[in-house]
Amino acid sequence: MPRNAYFVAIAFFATVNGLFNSAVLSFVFFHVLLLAPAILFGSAPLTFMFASLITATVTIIVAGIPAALYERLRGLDQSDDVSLWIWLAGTALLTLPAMGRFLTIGL
Amino acid sequence: MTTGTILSQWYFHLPNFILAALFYTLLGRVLLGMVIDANSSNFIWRFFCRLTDPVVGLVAAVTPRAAAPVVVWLFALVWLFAARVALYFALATSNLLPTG
Repeated sequence: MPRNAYFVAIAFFATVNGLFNSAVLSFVFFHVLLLAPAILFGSAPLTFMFASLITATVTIIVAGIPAALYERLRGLDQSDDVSLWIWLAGTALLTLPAMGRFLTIGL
Repeated sequence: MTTGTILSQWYFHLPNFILAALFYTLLGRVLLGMVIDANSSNFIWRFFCRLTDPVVGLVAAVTPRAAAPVVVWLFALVWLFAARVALYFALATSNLLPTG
């Protein structure tokens, strides 16, 4: 599989999680309002978009940890196919709670 | 909030301030990185890099190597934000969160 295909798939799952995982999204929204109101000018829509972006990024970051550990254990200088598969599978697993709403509502 | 109150609640304000300072400095690094060369001798750029390199190094250790440097910086921003949330959460659940 081409490298960019992995990244597109990872970004897709993360976007779905960032938009449809209401439990994580509301938690992040509350804390963004509390901790970083200045950078969003106190605007609720901007805060929601930022919270959604943070949730999507957290999905990618957390899913990337096992892939990074695999690379360090194998002593790899570059990510290989296995590592990218681990990253993609991790992102897909973390997106499972949001999949129900995504399949109902859609993009 | 008076200075005395802030000092007596240093266990929240000090780590929160350090994390916030790192967050905004890293944000500055990301923004400056769009218009400045990575090896630039600009002193603001070097200051941003020196201050945030330890955080970026830690985050790079748990990020797959396929991620570009700017992506690692953005991931570090999210880690710092998560650290602030964790601090807030830990103190709130221990009833140690400053009030007023």
